[in-house]
Parts: sequence; structure tokens; C-alpha cells
Amino acid sequence: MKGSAYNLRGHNFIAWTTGFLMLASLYAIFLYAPLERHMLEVQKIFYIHVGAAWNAFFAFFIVFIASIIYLKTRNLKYDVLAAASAEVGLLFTTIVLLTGPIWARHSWNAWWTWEPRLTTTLILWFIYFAYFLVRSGVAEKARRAVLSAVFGIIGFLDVPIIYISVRWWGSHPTIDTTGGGLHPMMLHALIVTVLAFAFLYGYLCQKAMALENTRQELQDIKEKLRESI
Amino acid sequence: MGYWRKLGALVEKDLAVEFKTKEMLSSMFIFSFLVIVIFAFAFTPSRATTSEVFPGILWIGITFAGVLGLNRSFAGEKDNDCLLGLMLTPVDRTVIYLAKAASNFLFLVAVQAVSLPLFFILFDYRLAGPLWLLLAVILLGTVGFIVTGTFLAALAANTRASEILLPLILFPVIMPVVIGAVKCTAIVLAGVPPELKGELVRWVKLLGIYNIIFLTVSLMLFDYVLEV
Amino acid sequence: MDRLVYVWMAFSITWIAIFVYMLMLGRRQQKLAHELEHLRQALKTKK
Repeated sequence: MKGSAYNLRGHNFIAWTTGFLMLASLYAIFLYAPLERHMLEVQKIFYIHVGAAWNAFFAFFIVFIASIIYLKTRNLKYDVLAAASAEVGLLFTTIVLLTGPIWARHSWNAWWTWEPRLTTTLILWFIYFAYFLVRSGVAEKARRAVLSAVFGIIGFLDVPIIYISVRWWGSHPTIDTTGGGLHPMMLHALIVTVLAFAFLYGYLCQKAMALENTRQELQDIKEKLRESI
Repeated sequence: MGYWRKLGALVEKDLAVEFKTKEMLSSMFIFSFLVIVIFAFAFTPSRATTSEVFPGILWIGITFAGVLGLNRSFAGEKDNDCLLGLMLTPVDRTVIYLAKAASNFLFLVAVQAVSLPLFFILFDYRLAGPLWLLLAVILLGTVGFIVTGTFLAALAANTRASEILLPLILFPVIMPVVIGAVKCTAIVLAGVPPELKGELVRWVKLLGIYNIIFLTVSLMLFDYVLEV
Repeated sequence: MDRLVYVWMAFSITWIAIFVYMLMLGRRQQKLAHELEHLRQALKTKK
């Protein structure tokens, strides 16, 4: 599996695995996992909701690591990784925030419940958005990479504190969504779904990175042409 | 020159610049006052609503006035390459950060000193808890706000549209401070009823930890923000 | 059944979001392809 700017290493493998896992997850969600007692079918939303959520936070973790490595090595490849990861992370965070209210509307008859994890995800969305605002505000490549790396690090370190403070803030009786044990077969379905979304994350990330690398190469070629003329 | 003397010199410079025109201080104070008045109209102040909503209004006023001050703190340095001048001085970059944070803190506290009593008067609010505790809690929250705010203001100063950018990147990051500060203020204003004492301690610890973490991280990362 | 509508909505919205993102990537790629063509033309005329 050759790698180049256009077709990164193992991309085909990731693409196929994503497809396969997504199908497996659909099967696991609808035909393998048992029907939940109270919410019945609507509970099935929980799998994509949580699957996307874990990967949204994982994506931000990758932004964090890539930012640190960039600051240490100044290799722009890590900035490309951070930006791509942030894009897909923002996508997944959006999915969490869209599926959450749909589930909540049915289960608790309210579109939004200020549940700590959901609220933290909302703030995560804003931090992701802020990350892109910082990126769009700086024109020069290296400077943009440094500033967004710094913000990525600060943003990520903030997330646990945000979670704790939101949790303490709302500690009047809140509905604990996944409290209590999870039926083992539900757990299996959840794991498959989380993995499926993880591979989807990898697939989309690679595509975004390849695009950015291509764009950059094109820029460089244009620069060289301009100089040689 | 020792570290602290350099820091003192930079803070002195900021204070001196501001006291010439007092432009920023007065804008911050008027803005804070406006917030009070708008909220007074927005919430018909019956006793019940006031006590619920007062801590929040307090901190919204502080936050908005604070952002105003933060914007100005680095915007002024952008003109005439003042920032470059600062960076050329033989100081450790962290001195610049701490000095800015210190002067921002002093400005915000000055504004608070005037607007806080005004808040209480206009909302006819009675303070049930000890005054020193209220001031301590407000200072704790202000430190958190300023620590992160100064750092992100420096970051935003490097971008275009920095004045619009700062609130957008600051507010999500500052959430724990706002949540914690409002909670603490609410408990103190209510007179620290014994069943809420544990909660107060918990929130104070959270604010303290936030301050320490973000001060440390800001000190570590500030060099990158100021690079040319 | 009302319940299935919710499930359908959630899954659809998820896939729509993913497809919207992929369309965005596709549009970016098109722009790049255009630029590449432009460059090729420019090189040809330069020769």
C-alpha cells in the first residue's frame, strides 16, 4: 500500500474496514442488542450518540498530541493532522449534539436537559469552533500552526475541568443516562459502534489530510513558478 | 535588574499609560454600569428573582467589563510595534505575561471596587454572609479570569479581527471560572448556610486548581504566543 | 410508530452530517483540480 500525498498509507484498508464495521454495527444495534425496557427502540440512538461522543473527545486528544509534537518539532505535517482531526472532531461533536436532543425529546420530553456530559460536549463544540476561528485569523502558515497548537493544548486541558464543574453545577437530581449496568450484549454493540466510528474518523481524517497536503503542494508549485518567471 | 523589579517596572508602565487618559478604566466602568441597568430593566427586581439572579448578573458584568479591558491590553501594544519593543527588552518572556496579567487584574479590581457597591445599591441587595469572604471569592474568580484572559488576549492579538475573536475563544475556556465563581458568590451572598458549606469549599478548591493549572500552562506556552 | 420515527431521525441526521462533510471535502478537491488545470494551461501557453 503505497503512500503519497494523495493516497495515504493504508487508506484503502481503512475505507473497507470502516464500511465493514459500520455494517457490523448496524447489525449489532438492531439485531443483536436486546430491546431496552423503558425506552424501547429509541434507546438504539444511544449507540451512535455515545460512539460519536467518545471519538469526538478522542479526536480532540489527537489535536492535543499533534499540537504538542508540532511545537516540539515544528514539522508542519503535525499541524495538518491537528487541523484534520479538529474538523472530523467538530463533525462528530455536531452529531452528538444533534442525536442527544432527539433522544432526550422522546425519553424525557425535553429537547435539552443540561446533562453534564452533553453540556460538556456543547462547550467542546465551542472550543473546536474557537480553534477554527484562531486558524482562520492568521494568514501565515507557520504562525497559524503555532497559535492553533497553543490553543489546542489549552482547550484540551480545559475539558476535564469543564466536565467536573458542569457536573457539580447540575447536581440536583439529574437523569443519569448510562448509569447502572449495561447489558453485556448492549456493551458489545456499543464497542463495535465505537470502533466503527473510530475507523470512520481515521478515514475522514486521512482524506482531509491528503487534501490539505495536496493543496499545500500546489501552493508550493505556484510559488516556484512565480519565482522562476 | 531582578525578575520582580522588571515585572514591577512593566506593571508601572501599564498603569502610567492608563492613568494618563483613564480611557479604558472609564469605559470598563461605564460598561459595567450599563450592564447593571440593562439587567435591572430586563428583570423586574422582585425580591425572589433578584436573589436568584444576582450572582449571575454580577459575574456577567465582571466578565464583559473584563473582556473590554483585555482587548485593550494588547491592542495598544500592536500599534507602533510596542510589542516588539517589549520583546526586545532583556526580560524573560514570562515577565511580560505576568506583568500584563497583574495590570489587567489591577484594572479589573479597580472597576469592581466601584461597580460592586453600585450593583448592591441598584438591586437593593442585602449581603447575608461575611464581606471578607465575598471579596475573597470574587478575587479568586477574577484571578482565574485574568490568568486565562491575558494569555488568550495575547494569542488573539496575533490575529486579525482580534477584538471579536477574544470573547469567542475566551468564553468557552473560562466556563469553569464563571460556573464556580457564580456558585461561590451565590452561597456567600446567602450567608453560607451550613448545608452549603461543603459545597463552597469544593468550588473554592476547583477555582484554586483552575487558577494554578492555567497559570502554569500559560507561563509554559507564552513564549510561543509572542514569537515573531 | 412514533418511536421508530425518532430512531430514523437520529440515524438520518448522522448520515446526512457525514455526507455533508464528505461533500465539503469533494468541493475542496474540485477546487484543487481546477487550479491544477489552470496551472497546466498556464504552463502550456508559457511554452
